[in-house]
Amino acid sequence: MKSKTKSILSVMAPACLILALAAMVTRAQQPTPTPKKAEPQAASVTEAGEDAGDYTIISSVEVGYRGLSVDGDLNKYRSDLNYKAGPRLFDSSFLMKSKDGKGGLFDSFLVTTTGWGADPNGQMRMSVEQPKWYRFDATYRRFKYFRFLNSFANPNWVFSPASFSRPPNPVTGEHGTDTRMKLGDFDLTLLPKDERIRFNVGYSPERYDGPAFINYRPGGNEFVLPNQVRSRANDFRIGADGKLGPIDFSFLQGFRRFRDDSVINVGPTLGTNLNPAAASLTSFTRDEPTRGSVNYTRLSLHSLIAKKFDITGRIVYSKATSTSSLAERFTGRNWNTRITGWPPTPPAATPNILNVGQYNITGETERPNTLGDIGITFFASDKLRISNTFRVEDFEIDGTAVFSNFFSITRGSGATLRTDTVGFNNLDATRITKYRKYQNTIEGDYQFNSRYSMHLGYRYGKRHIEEIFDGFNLGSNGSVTPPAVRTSDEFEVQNHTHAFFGGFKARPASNWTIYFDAERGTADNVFTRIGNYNYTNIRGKSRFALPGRKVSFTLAVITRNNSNPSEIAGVSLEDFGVDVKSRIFSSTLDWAPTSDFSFSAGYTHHRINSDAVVEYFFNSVRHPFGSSQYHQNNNFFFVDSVSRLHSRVTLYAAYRINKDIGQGSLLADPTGNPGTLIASYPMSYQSPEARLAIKLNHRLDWNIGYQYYNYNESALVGPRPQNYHAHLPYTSLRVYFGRRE
Amino acid sequence: MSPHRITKSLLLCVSLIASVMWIASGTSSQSVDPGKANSVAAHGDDYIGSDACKDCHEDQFKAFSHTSHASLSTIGSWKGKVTGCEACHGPGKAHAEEGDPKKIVSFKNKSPKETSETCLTCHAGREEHNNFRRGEHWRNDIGCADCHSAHATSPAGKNVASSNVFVSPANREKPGFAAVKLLKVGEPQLCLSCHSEVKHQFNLPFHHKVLEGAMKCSDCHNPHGGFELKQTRLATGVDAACIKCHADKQGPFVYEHAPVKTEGCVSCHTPHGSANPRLLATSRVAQLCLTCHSNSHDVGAIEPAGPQHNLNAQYANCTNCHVKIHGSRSSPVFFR
Repeated sequence: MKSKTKSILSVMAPACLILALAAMVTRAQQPTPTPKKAEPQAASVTEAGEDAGDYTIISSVEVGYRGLSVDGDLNKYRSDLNYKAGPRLFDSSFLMKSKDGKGGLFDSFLVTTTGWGADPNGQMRMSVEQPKWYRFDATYRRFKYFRFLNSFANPNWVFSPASFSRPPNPVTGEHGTDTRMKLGDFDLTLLPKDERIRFNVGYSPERYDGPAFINYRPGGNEFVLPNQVRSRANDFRIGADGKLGPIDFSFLQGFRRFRDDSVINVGPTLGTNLNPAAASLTSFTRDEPTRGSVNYTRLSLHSLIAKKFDITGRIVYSKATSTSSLAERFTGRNWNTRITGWPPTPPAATPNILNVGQYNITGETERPNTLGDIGITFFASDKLRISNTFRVEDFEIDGTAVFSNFFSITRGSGATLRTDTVGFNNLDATRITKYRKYQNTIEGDYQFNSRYSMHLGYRYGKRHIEEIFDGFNLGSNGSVTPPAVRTSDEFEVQNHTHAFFGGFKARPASNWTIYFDAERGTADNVFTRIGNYNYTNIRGKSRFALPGRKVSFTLAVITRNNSNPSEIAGVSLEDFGVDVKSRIFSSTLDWAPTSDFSFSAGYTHHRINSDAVVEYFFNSVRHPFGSSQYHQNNNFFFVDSVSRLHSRVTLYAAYRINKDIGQGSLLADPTGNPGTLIASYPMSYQSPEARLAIKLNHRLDWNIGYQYYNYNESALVGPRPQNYHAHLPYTSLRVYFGRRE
Repeated sequence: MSPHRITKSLLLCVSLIASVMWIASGTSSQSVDPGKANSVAAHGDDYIGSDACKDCHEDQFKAFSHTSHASLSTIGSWKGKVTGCEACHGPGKAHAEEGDPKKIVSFKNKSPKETSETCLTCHAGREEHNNFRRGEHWRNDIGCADCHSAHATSPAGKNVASSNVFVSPANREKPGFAAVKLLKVGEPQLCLSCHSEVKHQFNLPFHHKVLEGAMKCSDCHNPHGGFELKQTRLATGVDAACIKCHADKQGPFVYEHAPVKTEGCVSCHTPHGSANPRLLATSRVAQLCLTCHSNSHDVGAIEPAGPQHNLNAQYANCTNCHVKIHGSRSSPVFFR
């Protein structure tokens, strides 16, 4: 009840605020109406806006109620959509503008909102400006994240015997979240239109909290632990930009402070493996308070010299730091440390009672990062421009963790019980990642005439990455027994990329435009195999409109080929292939034969096929040269139409569908030699929508609408289909101020 | 070379270039900015002021008079300089007297780049627009006037029914940021009118809430260019645009998953939308990870060892155990 009241209030408060503001301003301004000059106006044009003295107001607010009925997998529905039943402020907008551009406190005042109430995404944006003195821009957004998905994180796990397996649980799906994220951006610019100098200050808060499940794998079992997520960040900015002689400058100094106070505190918990001999927890707490900062400075300079050179230089320097202190403490049974030699044998490691297990790990990290860019455009002639852009980026991540742990285990030893303890203190490990990148792009564009132009360019890049480890290698989970000695390791990789690109724009007719561009790049080495290293991207687009613009047609074809036959770590080219092909075909048609009817439709086909040589284990058998394939074969179709059925009645009808047939009839053969893994996500997702808007009077429309969502997925996706049907009827009133007839 | 030395070197270079630019500009006899260079006092005979335009171009004048362009004449730093219609269209006296369309600057038959040059005379110096001449839109001959209307437009929609979940310009009396940013249509319709090929991604089960109005294309992309590929923005200095909202992925972590920073989020995620949870590039996590973690790819990308990484058991999804895959402060293998 309380939450419902809160929900209603959250809808009504902004709605009332906007309504009251509009009414107040309208009313307050009425005693002193500006005398109107009798001016002839075109019959077809009626000025929008409610007269409010020196201002004009245009505003609308839609308030209503949404119903909800879901059949099928409610968790998947909430993960995808999360619309709930209840009252809400569907959307609102309020624009107040001075009539002559010489308002008092402000010249323009705009507020827009969508999705407040029980909708999962709510936003409010505001912009207030008095050009002579200030501009204030604000954005506030709230997202409700809900994720409980069986197919993704809870596949059918089979232990031996099968009765030891914990079946997928739709309530406690692994990695499930029910969190809230709130984001704000508030920016004030002083003297926004001043040519010489402008000042700006800004603040961006970010809040993220709520319950979530997190996995943890200690002691030979895997645990799904409820985690109370709580993190926050505050970003402050101050800067100025303006003109110093011939140089435009922009300076920004920013400070971000963030903290994470997420905690886990649970009682007895069984692991995913329900075998009584497997490890289980009788208590678990984890606290890892983290504090961090990012201080950054940005300076940009720009000038145009003798109408011939446009030069822009920018340098950004940031230094990020973080400190953390993890304290993890747990008790349990049948703890399997999986560390040879501990607990000392005999007796057997299990069964046992874990009296206490404890990790204390502190971490400190620094990441200085520098980015420098300089771009120069030379105006060789009115038609030819030659540009060069150079970038250098450098960062180093320098992190050190200090590990301590303590374990106490009691086991049977003959007729008696025996307790063993083990632990260590202050073993450190340092990891450093160094990165340096140089990139230069030279390009030219030529304008044949107002209808034809082309561009050509070449980009060179060089990257150097180095990873260094020094200290105690504490294994996968921070070893129970201390490593005997410090170790060190170093790796470095360097690559060079060359890319050529070019394209043209052509307007063979005044109502037909064609765009085309292509890029071809190659690299001699890789850091990750999923990057773009040997690729060809082609993009072509066409826009056509019939005279009068009543019909327009767009067409796009985009292809991307990325193969990665590069050599690394001595592995031959053939053994190391990754090929990704993407094809997009898209077309849209817009038709508005009369002002009472409009229609638009579109179709997009998007296909992705990737094939990589991978090494994997299946049934405990190693497949060193397996094939890993991913297939997306998606077809999207939409149609929107608006019809005026009567002078007071309009109907909106729409239908959208995404249908991915994925891998089709292809089947994986993971046990084969070399073996094939195939992944895809065959599903269909469709949503028809209809809305009838009935004009009740000059200020009021009544809307009645219905949305339907239907999600179906193939059995290939997961252990059980997460299909659902959702019906979302709604009704609402839209109130207008300044409505144009 | 240490980052500090690089910073110093770059600052030195920038200072030198700035000095050269300053000196060179001081010796230059020309400037491309008619609004700045051509003061009314210097060319008083040729300029007649915006009021004179009103007589014949009433609709444009009325729309223009509500814009911030029109208010420049009230601002001190613009005093004595040409503002209003003639700032872009050039001196209007001859045109007004003779009615000859050739006696005024018209943009009707100019290319997008030529038109843009006029806008850039004032707008090029802003951080947001500094790199427009080297951006994707420029390359493809998309100019300012393809998205903006310098004279301003009224809300572009019709008074008709529209979608309940997606933002739409259908209601004319539903003004948006198009009105104050002088855009022809609001986002995302404006962007999708050319980039229709991404629309389907925003209709997939998992997507960023752009069509719903909770985000805008320009939250992540800078339509005016920029130094980044795909014209993406930077967050908090030099981090990827994604970090602006996903602050918990920012780090720095003691154990960073290096590709997050070196290759970027899009190595593993498809940011616009996907049928795959978490906007992942593939539907099965293991296959995504194995693409790098295979075949002795020893860059901190060690292949999964031994039978414990058995794909037919609970280890089918790597992130079941390696939960902090973006980075960890306490586990070398991202377990916590």
